[in-house]
Amino acid sequence: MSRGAKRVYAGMRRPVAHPDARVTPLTMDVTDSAQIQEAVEKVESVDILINNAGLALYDDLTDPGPLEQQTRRQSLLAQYGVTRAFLPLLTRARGAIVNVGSVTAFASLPLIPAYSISKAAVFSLSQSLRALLADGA
Amino acid sequence: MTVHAVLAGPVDTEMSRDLDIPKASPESVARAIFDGVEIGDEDIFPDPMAQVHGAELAQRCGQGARASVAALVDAQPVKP
Repeated sequence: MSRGAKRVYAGMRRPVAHPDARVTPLTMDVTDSAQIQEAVEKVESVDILINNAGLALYDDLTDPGPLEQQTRRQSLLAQYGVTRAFLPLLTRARGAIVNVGSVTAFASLPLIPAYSISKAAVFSLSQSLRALLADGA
Repeated sequence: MTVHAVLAGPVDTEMSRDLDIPKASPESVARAIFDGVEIGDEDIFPDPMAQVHGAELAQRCGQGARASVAALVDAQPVKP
């Protein structure tokens, strides 16, 4: 906002008020496609989509649960789902997508292996989207 | 449309509260991300740890080869 943004839509699972009137809280759990769609319908225009939601589960890969939660629900499919939903608005604005990830995309941190795997996946997602959306979109 | 991938090191948020390691402030990381978007960086390394280690890792993991791999898009699948 210090750079002159006219409006910031802040997606949150439990919306809280913000002292700056330019901030519009939006109820949006990024793992819930119905909530994502409801949020999109409340937004007039978007120049920059920032996929920042994340989760870091400590695990040791003995159980598939954390891996599934990290890659399917929290990182990979969440970034994909939100991006897909906002794509018409972003296309209209010839906007930018910012996928927040981690250096663990390149170097796994064995303390959080499922997280590291999910970050490698979202980095790959960014690369493909960049190529697919580069021309004219 | 542009797509920017942020490759961050540890950031001082709730997510990393149990890790006793050096962390960058969320404010400085946010600033570096918008700087990167403004100057058109595709991959953004927004903190000191990411700049030192991340950029080197990206290089080693073939960041430089991406263009040549992407050029294979023009190749046609071989039909049996």
